[in-house]
Amino acid sequence: MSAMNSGGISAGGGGSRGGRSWHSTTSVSASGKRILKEMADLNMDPPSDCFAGPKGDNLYHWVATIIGPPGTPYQGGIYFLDITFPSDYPFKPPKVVFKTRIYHCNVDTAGTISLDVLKDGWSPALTISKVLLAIRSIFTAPDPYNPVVPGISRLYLADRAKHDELAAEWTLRFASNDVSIVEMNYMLLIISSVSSSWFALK
Amino acid sequence: MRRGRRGRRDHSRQIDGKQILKPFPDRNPETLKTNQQPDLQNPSASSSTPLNEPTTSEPMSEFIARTSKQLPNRGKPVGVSRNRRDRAFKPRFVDVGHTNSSREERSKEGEEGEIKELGSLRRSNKEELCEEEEKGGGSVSELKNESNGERIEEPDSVEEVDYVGRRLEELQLGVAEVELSEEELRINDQLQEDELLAMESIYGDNVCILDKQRGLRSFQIHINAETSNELTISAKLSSSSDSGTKSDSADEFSYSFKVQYLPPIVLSCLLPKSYPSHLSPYFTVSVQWLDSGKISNICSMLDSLWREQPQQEVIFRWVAWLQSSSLSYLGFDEEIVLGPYGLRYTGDRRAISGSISPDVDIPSLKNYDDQQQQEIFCKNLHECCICFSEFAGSEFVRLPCQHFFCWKCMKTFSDMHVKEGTISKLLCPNAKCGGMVPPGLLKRLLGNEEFERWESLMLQKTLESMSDVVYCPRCETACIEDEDQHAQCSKCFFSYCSLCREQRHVGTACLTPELKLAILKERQNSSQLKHEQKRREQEMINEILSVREILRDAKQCPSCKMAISRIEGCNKMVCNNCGQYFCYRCNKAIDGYDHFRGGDCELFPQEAVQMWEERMMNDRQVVGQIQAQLFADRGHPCPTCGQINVKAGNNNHIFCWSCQNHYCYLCRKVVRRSSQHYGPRGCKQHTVE
Repeated sequence: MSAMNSGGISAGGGGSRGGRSWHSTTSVSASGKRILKEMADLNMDPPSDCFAGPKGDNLYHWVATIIGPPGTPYQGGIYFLDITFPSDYPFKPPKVVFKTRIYHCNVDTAGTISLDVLKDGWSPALTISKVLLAIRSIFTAPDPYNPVVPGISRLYLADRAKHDELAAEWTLRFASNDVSIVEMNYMLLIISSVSSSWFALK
Repeated sequence: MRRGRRGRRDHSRQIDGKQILKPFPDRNPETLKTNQQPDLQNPSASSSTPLNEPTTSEPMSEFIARTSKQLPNRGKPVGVSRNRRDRAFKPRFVDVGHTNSSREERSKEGEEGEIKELGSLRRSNKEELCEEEEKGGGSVSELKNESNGERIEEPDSVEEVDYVGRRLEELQLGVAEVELSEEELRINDQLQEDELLAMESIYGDNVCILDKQRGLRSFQIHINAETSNELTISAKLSSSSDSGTKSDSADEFSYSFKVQYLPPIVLSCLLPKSYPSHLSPYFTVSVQWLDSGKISNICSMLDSLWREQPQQEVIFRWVAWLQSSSLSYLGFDEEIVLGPYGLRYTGDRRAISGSISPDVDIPSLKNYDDQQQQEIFCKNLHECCICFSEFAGSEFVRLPCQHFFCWKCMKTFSDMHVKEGTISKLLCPNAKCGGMVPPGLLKRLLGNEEFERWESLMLQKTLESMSDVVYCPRCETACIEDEDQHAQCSKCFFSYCSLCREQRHVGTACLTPELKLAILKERQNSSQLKHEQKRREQEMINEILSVREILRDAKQCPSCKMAISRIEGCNKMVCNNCGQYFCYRCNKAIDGYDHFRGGDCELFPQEAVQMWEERMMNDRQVVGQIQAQLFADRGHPCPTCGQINVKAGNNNHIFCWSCQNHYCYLCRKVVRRSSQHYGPRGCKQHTVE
C-alpha cells in the first residue's frame, strides 16, 4: 500500500487513507457495521495488488484500485473502481464500476462490469475483497461468451494477439501511472516540435 | 444404606411385567455444564433414541435370549447397555433430604418390585443380590424417580438401578474385611479423605463422590480417554444372525466411521476401611462400547498397578493410566475395533460392558459424538460470516448443508426474499452452496404470516413452471390440460378449451377473433339481451378489438407470447418479460447474432438503413457511395473505416466519403498535413493510373 501511495493515486484524499481510524458516527445499522468490519479486515490483511477504502466521509462510497496482473496485457496498469454499497448490504450486492477505461470484453465503455457475482451470483457471505479478487480474475481470464462489448470478444476469439496488443495499448494510454503519461506526452511534444522545425528548415 | 446416588431416577422396577434392564450406570459429570439439562428434565426427549431399552416384554426377552445365553448366572443383563448412553447427564446434586423421604415412600414399592422381579429367570442372580442386600440390612436403596408418577409412563426415562453399586457390594462381600486397629483405621480414613479431595479438585465435575454406604466411601469418575482429534471406529458386521457361532470371513464386512468424542470410561470405587493399608479399593469399570473381555483386561491392569505399589494410594494412578494409556494398551491407537460380539464371557465381575451388537453400538456412538460436538459448538463463540459479529454457538442456526449463520442474519435474509418475491433465491446464503432451507426452519424464521406468503409464492412458481397448467376462465383456479387442449376445472367443473378459453368444442376449431367479433356485434343489436349481458359482451368486443390492434403492429415473444412492438433499432429483440432473445422479422427465438449472418433475416431492416442514410449522408457521400459500388474493382478500402473509395481523376489524395478522413491513395496511409506528405520526398499527388 505504501508503494501505491507514493505512486500518486489521484483519488480524493488518497494519501492519508492508510492511517485514518473511523469514528462510527455514521451508522449503527447492520450494513454499516459490516462495512466497518470489512474495512478493518482489509487494513489488517490487504490482498495483494488491491486497495479499497472509503472515498471521503461516506462509508457507503468506496474507491478501489486494481493493478493489472502480470502476464496479462493489462499488466502495469492501475485501474480505479467506484464501489457503492446499498443500504441493505450485505443482502444486496455492491455496485462496482470501472472508472478507468479498459479494453475488455466484459467491461463496457461506461465502466459497468458484467460479472455474475455482482448480480445473480451474489451471496451475503461474500466480501469486497472476494469481489475484487473475482474482478482481477476476469483480467486473467476474460469470458468472451458473455460479452458486453461484442466487438472485443469477437477479436479475442479471432485474433488473440491483436486483442492483446490493443489491450496493452489502452492500458498504456489510460491506465498507466500519471507520471509516466505526463512524461511521455512531454517527450512526444518535444520530438514533434523538433522534427517540425527541422522540416521547416528544409 | 447406599445413599446419595444423586439424581438417579430409577424405573427398572416396572411392575406390570415390563422389564427394563437398566443396570448400566449413567454418568454424572459434565452434566451440569450442558444445556442438555433442560432436555434431561424432559423425559420424553430421552426416548428419541431408538437405543433405549425396549419397553415391552417381548423384545426384552428376545434380547436377553439372544445375548445372554451364556449368562445364567450372571446378573449382568446383556440388555444393559442401552440406557442413557447419550443422555448421561442428570442433576448431580440432589437434595439428600428430599431423596431420603422419597426413598422411604417408595422403598416399599421398591421391595415389591424387587420381589416381583425375582420371579424372572434371568434375574436369578439379582435375586441373590437382593437377598444379600436385604441381609446386609435394608432395602436396596434404589432412588426412585423423583418425578413421581412418571415411572410407568416413561419407562425409558433417565436412570437405572444402582447396578454398579450392587456389584460393588457384591465384590465387597466377597472379600473378608481386615481387622484393623483404631489408629490404622484413622490413618486410612484420613488418607482416603485426602485422596478424594485431591481427586475432586483435579477432575472437578468428572468426579462424583457418593455418600457413604455403611460407612465406606465411594465415588464414581468419568474418564475421557485421551485420543487424537479424530478417531476411526470400525466394526465387523456379519450376515449371520446367530451370535453363538463364528461366522466366516466371507460373510463379514467391516463398517468404519469417524468420531471426535468417545463415551467415557466409568470407574466406580468403593473404598474399604483397610485401604490403602491392606486392601485395594473395590472397583468396577464400565465402558459402553468395549466388550467384556477387553474391560477385564483393563481390570487386571488396574490390579497390577495396585500391586506395583501396594499400600500407596492408587486411585490417581489408575485414573491417569486409564486416561492416557488404556486405549493403547488395548491396541487401539489408530483405530478402534468394536466387538467381538456374542462371545461367552467368563471373566471378571468387575467389568461392565455396554456393548450389545453393532447395530446398537454404532448409532449410540455416533449419537454421543454428535451431541458432544453440538455442545461444544454451543459453548464456543463463533463468527457469523454474514455480519461478522461473534456470538455463542447457541445463537446460530445450522442448515442441513452444515453451514451455520446467526439467527438475525438468517431472519433478515429470509424476510427480504419473501418480501421481494424472489423466493427462488431463498437458499443457503453461503456462496456456491445453494443448499435448501427446510420449511420448518423457515416457518420459525419468518413467522406465520410471512410463511404463508412464502407458501403461496412457492405454489405459484411451481405451477408456472409446469407447462400444462392453465387457469379456468371462470374461477381462476389452476387446472391441468390434456393433450387435446381440453381442461376441466375441479372447482366449478367448467369444461373448456385451453386455446380459446371458451366452452369445449369437440370437432370444430376455435372461434377466430374475427368470427367472434362478428357474432358479438350481431348480438349487440339484438333486443333479447338483458342490460347486464349486453354490457359484458360489449366489453368482450372491446377487448378483442384492442388485442387485434396490438397484434397488428407487434410481434409475440416466442416463449411467453408477450406482444412486443418495435419502435426503432435492429431486428434482434429481447423480451422484457422472460428475457428471451428473438428475431423481430421471423419471430424465432435466437441466441446471439449468428441468426443474422447467414439466411434471410438481416440485422437492420432495409427501411431503417435507408432512413439512417438519408439522415446521415449528404449528396457527395451518396455519390461516393454509388461510385464505390459501381467501380468496386477500381477502388480500395479506406485505412480508417474500410469503405471503398474510388480515386477521382489523377489526385491521389482521397477524402473518404464515409468517415471523412484524408488519406493517400498510393501508400494507403492517413494523411494529416498534405503539404508534408506529398512533395518531392513523399508520394506524388497526381499520378495517372
